[in-house]
Amino acid sequence: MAHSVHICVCCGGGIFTTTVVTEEIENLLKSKKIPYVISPHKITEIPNLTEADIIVATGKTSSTNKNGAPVLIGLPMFTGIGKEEFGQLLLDTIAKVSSD
Amino acid sequence: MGESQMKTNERLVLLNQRFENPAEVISRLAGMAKEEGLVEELFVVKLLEREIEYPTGLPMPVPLAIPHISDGCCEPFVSIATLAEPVLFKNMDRSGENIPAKIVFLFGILDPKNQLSVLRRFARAFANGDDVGRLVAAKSPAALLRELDGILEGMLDISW
Repeated sequence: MAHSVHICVCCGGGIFTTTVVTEEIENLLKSKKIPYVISPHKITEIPNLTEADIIVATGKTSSTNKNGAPVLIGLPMFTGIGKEEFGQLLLDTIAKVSSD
Repeated sequence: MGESQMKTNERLVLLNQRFENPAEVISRLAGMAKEEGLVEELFVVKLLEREIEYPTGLPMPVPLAIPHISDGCCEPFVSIATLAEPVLFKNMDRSGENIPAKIVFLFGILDPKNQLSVLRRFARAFANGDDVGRLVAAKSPAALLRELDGILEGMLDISW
């Protein structure tokens, strides 16, 4: 991979859910030895997240950033329900944005 | 910097209450926190606004809701209500799905990085239907807090 994938994690308040989801994603990427940069945000900040390769939001949103980064719904990383599937989707998405 | 505990006490716990809607639950729980000097009025206003735009219902084994915000919060705390009849919160995934919450955890959070352990433990507990079921079944605020402190492995600051 040419550079670390930059993931922006966003929830309504940018605090509780984001904090837990961020930690879960870090654990996953560390275990897969994928270089990453990750940062917490609010959903309202999404249009301005120009640095993001991938956006993980806890809830549905029609927003994306100027580069059209993929937006994934990351609530499974908080609830644990559908966590495996989300993890695979995230890894697939990282592979895709890295090859573009 | 060490991780801080999260404040709560028996005056921040309501058992088996009836509410019509999320705004009623949030106003009451946030109002109790205000009486304890943990939040300013801004907290109540912002939290009510937030629940409309970014709802906090979670489809856990025991459905629940976790309204939380940092605006107007003076000290990290959690206040809790168990509900006699489920109150319909919207799903946090913004799908519009109704979540019939049986228990509501209302959080004031200052610096999430400083509270990662306690937030992480809460998230793990929410996914455990048995843990949340014991809280819902608690017969007194003191019993609920004992149970919760056990689940969170001592991360609550109850004596203040």
